[in-house]
Amino acid sequence: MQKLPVICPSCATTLSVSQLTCSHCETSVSGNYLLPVFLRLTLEEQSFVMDFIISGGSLKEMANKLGKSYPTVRNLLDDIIVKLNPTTK
Amino acid sequence: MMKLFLNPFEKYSEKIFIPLGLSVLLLGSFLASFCSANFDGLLDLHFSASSVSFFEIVYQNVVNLIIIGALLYLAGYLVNPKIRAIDIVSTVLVARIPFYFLALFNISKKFSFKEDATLQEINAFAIDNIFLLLGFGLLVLLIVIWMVALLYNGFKVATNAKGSKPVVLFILAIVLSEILTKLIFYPF
Repeated sequence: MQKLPVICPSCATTLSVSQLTCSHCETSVSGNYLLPVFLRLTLEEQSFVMDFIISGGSLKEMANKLGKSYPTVRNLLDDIIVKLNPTTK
Repeated sequence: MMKLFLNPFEKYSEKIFIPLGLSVLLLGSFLASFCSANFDGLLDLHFSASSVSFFEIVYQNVVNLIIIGALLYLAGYLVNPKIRAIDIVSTVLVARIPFYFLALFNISKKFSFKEDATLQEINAFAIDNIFLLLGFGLLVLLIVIWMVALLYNGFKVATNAKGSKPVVLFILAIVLSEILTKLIFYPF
């Protein structure tokens, strides 16, 4: 599966969705929809967030799973929080 | 492998660092006592003519650790208030491990001069052992660089440091620690 582009290669603005297609009957829906904020993250960051949710929000469990120290995992999470909500910086 | 030596803090936690750091502190203090070495300052190692008690060396090491730990915590708090004290304790305990082993250089008491040694005697020793002294100087320099690199990397992981502000605060903490430890060991 190719990585979904979320940033305009021309002007670096966040892209929006203009068309969605049903892979079964090929019906297309056109419009102008915002991309979910989660898609601003890299695939590694998305995977980290998913694992974090699955582990019940336990950084200790995440640290064990990733083989990293607790502060390193907390730093990864803090960087994601800043990326999703730049005002928290 | 290199990363493990320079930045073990990304991978391992305080559960390993604190017992390891405390054990090597005691071992290093024993070695220093045996080799007549003093750690009378954060970045200091001096060999004395008379033997130094194990408890005196432990006191010196604990003072060095408390001062650098407190100042790094303060600097870290200014960078990121979410900093955990335990991460700074781990950092300072681990960063000093290489430094303790420098005491072994005086295992034969070759560098222990009598208090009444004349300048001529010291000069003669330096000329006779110039390559040994150069080698020791280089080793000390490398170990100090390693210790500071460990301190910085531990500080960086503990605070999620980015940009120049943490670097400036870190340097300030090191310089202030050296001054404060000297003032404690050699008060006016």
